[in-house]
Amino acid sequence: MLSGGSMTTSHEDESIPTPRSAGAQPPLSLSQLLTLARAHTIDEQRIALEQAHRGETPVAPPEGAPYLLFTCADVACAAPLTQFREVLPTLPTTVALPFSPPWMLGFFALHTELIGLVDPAPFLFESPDLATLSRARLRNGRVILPGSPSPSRENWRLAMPESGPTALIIGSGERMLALVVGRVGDVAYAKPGDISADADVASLPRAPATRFRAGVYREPGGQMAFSVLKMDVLLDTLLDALKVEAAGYE
Amino acid sequence: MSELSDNTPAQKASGGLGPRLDTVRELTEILAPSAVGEQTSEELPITAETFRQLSARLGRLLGLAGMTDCARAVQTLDHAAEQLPSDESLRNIDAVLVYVRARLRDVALMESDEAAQGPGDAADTSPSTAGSDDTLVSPSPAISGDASRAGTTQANEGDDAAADAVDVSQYSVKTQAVIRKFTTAPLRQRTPGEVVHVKQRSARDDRDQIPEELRRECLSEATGDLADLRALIASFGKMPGHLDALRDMAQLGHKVKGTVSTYLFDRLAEILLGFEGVPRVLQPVAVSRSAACLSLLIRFADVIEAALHEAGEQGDASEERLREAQALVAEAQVLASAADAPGAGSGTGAQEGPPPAVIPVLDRSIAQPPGPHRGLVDEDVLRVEPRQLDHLMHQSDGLAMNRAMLAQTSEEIHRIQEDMDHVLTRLASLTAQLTDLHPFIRQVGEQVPAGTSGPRWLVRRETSGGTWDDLELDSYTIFDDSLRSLSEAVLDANTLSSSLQALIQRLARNSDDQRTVLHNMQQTIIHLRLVNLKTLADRVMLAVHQAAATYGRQVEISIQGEETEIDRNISEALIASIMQLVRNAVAHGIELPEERVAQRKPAVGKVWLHASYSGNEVCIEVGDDGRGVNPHQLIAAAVSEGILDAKQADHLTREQALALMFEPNLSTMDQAGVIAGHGIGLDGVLTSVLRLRGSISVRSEPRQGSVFQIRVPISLSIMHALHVRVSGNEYAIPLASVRRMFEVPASGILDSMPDAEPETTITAALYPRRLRVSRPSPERPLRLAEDASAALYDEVPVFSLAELLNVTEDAPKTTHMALLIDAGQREVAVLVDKVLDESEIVIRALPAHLRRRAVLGASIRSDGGLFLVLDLADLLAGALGGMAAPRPQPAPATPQPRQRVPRVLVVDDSISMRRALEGALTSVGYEVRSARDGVEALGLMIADVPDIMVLDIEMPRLDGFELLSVIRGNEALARVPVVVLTSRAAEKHHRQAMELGVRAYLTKPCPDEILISHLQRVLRESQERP
Repeated sequence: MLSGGSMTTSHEDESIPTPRSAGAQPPLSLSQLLTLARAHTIDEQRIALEQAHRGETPVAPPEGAPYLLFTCADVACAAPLTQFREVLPTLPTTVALPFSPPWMLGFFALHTELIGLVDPAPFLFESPDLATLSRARLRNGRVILPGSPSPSRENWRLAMPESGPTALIIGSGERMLALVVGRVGDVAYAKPGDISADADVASLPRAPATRFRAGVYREPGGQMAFSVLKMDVLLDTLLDALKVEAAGYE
Repeated sequence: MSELSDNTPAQKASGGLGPRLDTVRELTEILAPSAVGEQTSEELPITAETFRQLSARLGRLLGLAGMTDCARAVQTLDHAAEQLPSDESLRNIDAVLVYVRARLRDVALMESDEAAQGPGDAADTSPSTAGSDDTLVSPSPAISGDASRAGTTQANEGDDAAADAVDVSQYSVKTQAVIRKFTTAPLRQRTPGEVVHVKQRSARDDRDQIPEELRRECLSEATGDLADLRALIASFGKMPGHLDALRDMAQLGHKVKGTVSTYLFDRLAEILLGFEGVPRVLQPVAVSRSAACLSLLIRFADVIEAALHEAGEQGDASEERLREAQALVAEAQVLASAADAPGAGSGTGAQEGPPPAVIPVLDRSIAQPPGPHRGLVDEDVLRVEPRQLDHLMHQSDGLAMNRAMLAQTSEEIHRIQEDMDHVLTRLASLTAQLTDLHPFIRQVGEQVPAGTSGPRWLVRRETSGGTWDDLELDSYTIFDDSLRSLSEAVLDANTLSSSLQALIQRLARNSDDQRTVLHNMQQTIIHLRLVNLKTLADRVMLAVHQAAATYGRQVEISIQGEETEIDRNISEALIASIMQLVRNAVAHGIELPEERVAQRKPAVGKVWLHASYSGNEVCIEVGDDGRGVNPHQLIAAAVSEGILDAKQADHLTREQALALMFEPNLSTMDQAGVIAGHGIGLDGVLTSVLRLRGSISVRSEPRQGSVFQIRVPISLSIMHALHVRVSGNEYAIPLASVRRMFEVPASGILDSMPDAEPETTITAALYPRRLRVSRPSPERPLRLAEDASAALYDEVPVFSLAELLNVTEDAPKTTHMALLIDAGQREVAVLVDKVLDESEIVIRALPAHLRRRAVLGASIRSDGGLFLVLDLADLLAGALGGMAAPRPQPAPATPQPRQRVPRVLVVDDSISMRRALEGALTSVGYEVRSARDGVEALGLMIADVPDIMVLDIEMPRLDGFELLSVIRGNEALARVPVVVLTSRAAEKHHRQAMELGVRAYLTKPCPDEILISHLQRVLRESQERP
């Protein structure tokens, strides 16, 4: 059950707790504030802080595990937040790596680490021709990802207002990669029961390959469905493919 | 947990060695893993009170045994129990137990030994009765006799005072810290009745209980000690009569044994226990049987080294290694017993027996020297873990990025300041205009009556209450107010500009500071990775002695340049190659003494290892004055093997013929013994050196000897690189691989190869018309034409780097820069869009999944940007297919001995360039002075006129052209021939230089041998001229 609430400014939304008796509660401690900061969307944090400022009881932390919502090749995806190391604000400038397939978009330095940037779409959707499905292109260090249609009001969760193509960092150490994604959206909290089995995949307009799919997450309202990805499998697949490319030129 | 009893051995016996031994035995039983409890691994509830009893009992017993340091240590057990079951507490208990057990073992061995020498105690002091657990108290069951006793009696710890003063220096630094902590820590009160849980340990767990990093450190320390041991053996080899070396070996062996036994490397400890007795056993025959003793010690060191490797990889030495050690101990005893035989030990070399036919252990060591191991041992030899260095390197990268941000901020502030300056200018102008207009406007304003309608900005404001007249207070119009505001704004802007200026200056200072810190940090890191070649030299010395004994040669070894520093990885990777060359020199180069005498040579042959710096490289020469190599026989063998055909053989230069030694399939074993076996393993040497981005060459003269010269970079992580731009991307190329660069117009490139063979036809296989290369001949190896008038020239293939990397752009280029690359046996030109600059870079390896052929790694620019570092030779080797397989470079021309050493003045503003030139020219016998610019050069020339000058063009204060103009006007200086070495490749610069009397014009990068050949030519021509 999604418990984080929707990203809206409306105070009447059911998922947002309404102010309670003012002035009766002690001010929030730092740890409580940090809990709030970690557990809520931006609007909810703002509301909670306002509540705290008024001395009201803070909202309870959401139940369930956090999932990051994003799009890849215009397909709505979700994956456990803990499997991401970092979300970059924009696509980085990269250095082209010779003898690489089109979906390998070069590498860049981040916090002193050298990280490869790849388009996961050809693998996620198992294109028979991996080279053609990757729409991302590297041009003079700039990764160009053809624009996706702007998210409508209904699928706001898939795009922050300023969201655009960016990169998600997964893995660690030598096994670290950056994935090009179309947009990064909200963080949703889902309990195990919220993620349905693959039977629900038929409802998706386009689904990733079975081996990368952990299920389908559907919002409580039932409007949006997200393919929940196995990021560890995807990372292994991408690294293996890169190593094959590397070995091919040894 | 063993049952505790107050019936101490001290109450059973009194005084002497026996009671102490009994106490030790009892302690050993208490602490034996079987006593501690092997029966279950379940967590058992143990109260702090139980621990208190245990520690009290142990403390009493240890006190009785005179091991007061241990007694103090175990008293902390109850304190540790209070903290159970924390990991730290368990570690502390383990550390105490490990320490006490190790000490008990040492003391038990000593007591057994001393008791065995005392009257009537033989039965009681048998090692087999010393304790219930052999692993704790019995000496090595396999190593016995004088050898083991010699080692065990090294330390004299027979009484309390001696035990108190136990030498903890034999343990690792970390262990010392733990021991000191526990032997000096104050006791604390436990909580009575407190229940704690501790996991019972088994004997099998003992080793696992020791933190791996401590065991790793122990082996690292032992590996360092092994290097010292080899140095001592080498010292013994030089002066067999110098018995101090033998004594030091025994002490070192004892120390290492103590270290490894502390960490329960049991077999390794037994091997070292055997070793520490050997020097004393060998002492009586050290002089009379020096060669045999040396051989035995070398082999023992090899066994210890192998055992250390096994301990690192498998947890302990193997049984096989232990048996080898036992055999060596036995051999030492046999060797020593021979001294007691009638007629033996007269102290002359004549007593030496025949050297062993084969030396399997040493051969194994030489054939498989310690390369980069994944085990525990070699990773930490530098005492600084590589990951720490990598971390430091990452930090330095972070600093670089930070500095880039600072620079960017600084630029932004500059832009703001420029904008502000612009605004200020406008404001000032406006103010001036308004000021000029002011009298007129005021005049108009005064004509407007107060309070009436009119232009609002001209209407005088009402004074307060209208009670003051004009004489009492100036009246102001709005215009006046605006003018005043404008002036204030100008003032504010000026203030702001000043503040910005100060900020910019501060930023600049910060940026400079950070650059300095960064540079220092990188230099520190680089130097952390460097080691001197002393270890290598020690091994070489031992190998020469050993090989000489094996093959019956008399050899004098000379080593120079031990202090030369080189990257640790390169040093380790070079050991195999150097040892191979040295062994070849002794076995196949140096003749038998009688042969040498017959050739009127000294009976004692010479082998040398010389190491020196040459620019950014280290040059290592291995030479001998033996029989040398006949190139004609090599050519015959190559033709016979089908490596060459007769036509190719006819065109080979001497250097190329000698380079055939590195061919993998060339065997000369059947060639009448003259060069038999000289090429064995040299292909492996070549491969190893090339892998290090180095080169190897050979010079040899029949009956005079051979010299192999290896040149490798000082470090693999730093490189002097040429930065180029291709299709908008920046790349760095090792400068060492670039022989020359020049501009090529598009019209100068032919479309195809006229006689291209299918396998050589490649994408963009083009020819530059203007590149002229002299044809190779037996007298003259392949080399660039010295000037444009050369009658004969070859065309070289040209590749587009953009096409090789598949990063082509649509827009065609009208001109390119061509880099002439040394690609094995041929030269190849590579086209790039632009040459940016040259600099020293630090290479970072890419993650495994990003590694690609011909990509050495990445580096970070000073502005924080990334670029790839390419191995062009590798890239071209792939493009050329089999045509350009890496081959050894021809030996650089060695200048003939001269009566007078030519004095060269090097003038260049680049310190790295000066250093490189100094190294290259000094190495071939020139006397070199250097100057930073024309002014400094002029001063040096006036003080002492050089024989020749190598001159850069672009320099501060007085550039090359200006200096040339000045010295042409001076009669004495005008005679100095000048060779220009510059990065200016344009024809107009060349022409101007030649008009100023320059004798040769070379462009950077220029290979050393080409520069040297030009210097030789110019000097020769100068001498021939009147």
